[in-house]
Amino acid sequence: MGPPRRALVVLLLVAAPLAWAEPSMQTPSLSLAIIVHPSNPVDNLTFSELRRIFMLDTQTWPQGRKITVVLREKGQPERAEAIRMICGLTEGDYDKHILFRTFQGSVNIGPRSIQSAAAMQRFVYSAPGAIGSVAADQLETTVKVLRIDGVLPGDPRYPLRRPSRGPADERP
Amino acid sequence: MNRAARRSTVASYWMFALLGTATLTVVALGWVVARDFRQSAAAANQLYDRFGDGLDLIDDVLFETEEVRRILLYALHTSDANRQLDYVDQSRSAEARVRGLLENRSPILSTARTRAARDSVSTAWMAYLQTRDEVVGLILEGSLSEGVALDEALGTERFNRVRDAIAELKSSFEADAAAQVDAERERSRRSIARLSLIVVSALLLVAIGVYLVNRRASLEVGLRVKTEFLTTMSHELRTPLTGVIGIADLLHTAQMPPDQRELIRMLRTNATTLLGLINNVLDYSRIDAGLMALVPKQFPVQAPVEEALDSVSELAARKGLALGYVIAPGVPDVLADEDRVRQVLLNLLSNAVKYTDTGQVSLHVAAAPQRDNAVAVRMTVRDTGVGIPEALQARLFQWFSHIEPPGGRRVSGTGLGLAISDRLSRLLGGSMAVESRTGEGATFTFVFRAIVATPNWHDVNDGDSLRAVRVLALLGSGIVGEQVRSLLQRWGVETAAHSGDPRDTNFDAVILEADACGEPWYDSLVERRSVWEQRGVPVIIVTKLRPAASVATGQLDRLVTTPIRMQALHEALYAAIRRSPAAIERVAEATPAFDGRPIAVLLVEDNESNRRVVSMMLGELGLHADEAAGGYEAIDRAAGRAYDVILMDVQMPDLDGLDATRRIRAQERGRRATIVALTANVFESDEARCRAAGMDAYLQKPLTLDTLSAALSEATASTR
Repeated sequence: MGPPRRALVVLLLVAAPLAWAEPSMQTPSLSLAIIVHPSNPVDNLTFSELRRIFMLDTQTWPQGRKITVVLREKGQPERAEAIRMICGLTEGDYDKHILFRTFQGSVNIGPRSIQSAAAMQRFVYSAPGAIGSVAADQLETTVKVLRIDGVLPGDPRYPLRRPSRGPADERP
Repeated sequence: MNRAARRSTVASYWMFALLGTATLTVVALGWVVARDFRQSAAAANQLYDRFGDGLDLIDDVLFETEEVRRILLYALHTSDANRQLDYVDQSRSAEARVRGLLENRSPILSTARTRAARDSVSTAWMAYLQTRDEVVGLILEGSLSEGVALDEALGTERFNRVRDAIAELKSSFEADAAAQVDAERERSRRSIARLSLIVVSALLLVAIGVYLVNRRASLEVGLRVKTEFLTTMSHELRTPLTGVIGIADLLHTAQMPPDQRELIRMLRTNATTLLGLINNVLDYSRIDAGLMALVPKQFPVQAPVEEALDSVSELAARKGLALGYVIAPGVPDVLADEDRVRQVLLNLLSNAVKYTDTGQVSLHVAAAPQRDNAVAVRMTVRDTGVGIPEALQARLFQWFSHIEPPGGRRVSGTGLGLAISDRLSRLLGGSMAVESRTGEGATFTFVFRAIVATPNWHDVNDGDSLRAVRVLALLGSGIVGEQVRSLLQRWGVETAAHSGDPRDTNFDAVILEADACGEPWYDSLVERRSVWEQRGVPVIIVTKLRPAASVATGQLDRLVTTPIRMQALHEALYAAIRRSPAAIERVAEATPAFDGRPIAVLLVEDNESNRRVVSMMLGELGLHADEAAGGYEAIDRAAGRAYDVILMDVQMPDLDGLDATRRIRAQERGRRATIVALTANVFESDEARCRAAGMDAYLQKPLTLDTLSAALSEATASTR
């Protein structure tokens, strides 16, 4: 057996277990749903508009109501994940950005911090100007899910998604 | 017991029945009221429970609404979003409880007023929640000062409206509850009033019941005392009166001057009248008290008829009235209270004689069969007296109703006789009726119900045979002539017509009604009496009970006084023809006798004594009969031997003579037996039934040797 054939055998030996693995063990892609109050007239945001809102560059809704950004609490991976996917920043950079904007006086109230996905949705349901994010598989019907760039979570073109690390990666 | 007491007794029975009904009604009403009372109490308890539940509900609403607002205020005093959210969640939970309370559709808040008040609370609450949600939004969005401002500006006001609405709801509910409590209290009050009324009614009924029981007991005691009094008085009054009458009878036969004899006669008459009065008063008392008991016994109908006629004969003879009776063919011996029948007849006849001055008093008897071997005996007493005005007839049968005849003449009487007769006729299962017109006499019809009696076969019948005797009957058209004619017909006597030739003696005897002196033939025929006497033709004179001045009684064969007794006329006639050999021979020829030749006879009779008597009669005729004590035994015997004659009783307990005859006829082979019915039934329909069953002859009880002999002779004539 020459080296090419030996390499092929090694490749098969390594790949076979992967090929025979259970489908459920494969990691599905994770979408991050953007949620607002049901009474919010906005249905769709561009990714750019979304980023501006979360970066607090845009602070009012088209109808004039103040926008309240809601994130998970500091230190929770969902918060970092959301900041990274939406703002393209690390959590530390984002915090600095907010601190800077507050210092500038252009922001009265920074993003509100909520400790769980369920609380996130209850918060958004209770605050008409709020906007938050939650994993698409944890969505409830009490809130309104926004289209981003015209598509909803689950669509392959949806911009806020990444491969999930597994079912136990979300804290309650 | 008098009428009033009896009415009281009847009334007390009615009262007991009403009392029982009323008691049942009271018990039923009591049950209904008690049920209402229980329901009222249960409704009151339920009302109080609902009242408490309603107040609790309203308090809960108030508490939870305040909780919604209070928790919201907590949220205003923190900047932690998670704690704010917790407070919001708690507020919403309280809100959900308020919603649940307000949406409660239980009957607690069911009246129109409370429903309206609850709708007001809901409206105010929804308005407040709208503000609350806006405040919540401001809090969560971090605009605490704006939230506080909004709450103070609008939330407080709207929440106060909610409080006011809840207060209104509470007052409405309390007002409704008070109204319902009042209604329930009123219902309870009514139930208590009804219950009290029922208790009072029950006590009243008990009191009435106790009174009635005591009253009835006292009436029964009174009745017993009166009964004992009547019994004692009956004995005590009748005993000395009987003695007085007996002594008067003895004195009447003694030698004494005529004036004293007349006094004795008057004494006896008065004593007899007094005894009759006492008897009437006692009968009235017995009937009124319901103590009159009937004592049925078997008797021939002519017995009480003749006795009653005898009793009034003296007065009738004094007044010159013709008196007699006619019993229609087919009237059987009966089972009834003979004494009461005689009492009624005597009363009717004595009244008839009393109110008749000229003419006659007649009595006709007839019978109509009824079901169950019963017969309705109709006795009609007809007089030619003064009559009774139609207007007074309705009073005739009332107690103590005495009617004076027209013309101012006074007739003694207590007014009890007809009333007693009327009650007795009803007691005997019959009736009493009257038909009369003023001046045209009166007809009283007395009907009583009786059982057809089975006479003992050895009872004496009308006597020796008079069949084929020829009699010249010179009779009037009145009741006496009618009676004699009916009797002659009954006995089979041939009534000869007189040719007018004095030498014509083609008859065995002459019956002359001496009182028919008004008849056109009377004088000439009486004058011919000597011719008959010379030729040996016996003459029987029928006359009223008085010395017959118009005839020389010493030269007569027989004198029969009216009212005629059947037996007396029969004996007189039989005695008269015994002197005529030709007549005796003719009678013997007319009454066929059995010749004594040996024939096979079966006697079927369930009554042992009757069986023995008939067997002895057959022995007299030289026959020995086989005997059967019932229908089935007769069938068996007839199957085992060919009889010439079967004497068959019709009424037997196991199998009657009709069925037995049918079966015997069905099993007969060869020689046919002559079956002779023996029965006490006297109606033509009975004879027809016997013949339809296959019987050949029909013998009516009581049976005499002659009739039996004749029947056997006729039965065997065809086999001679």
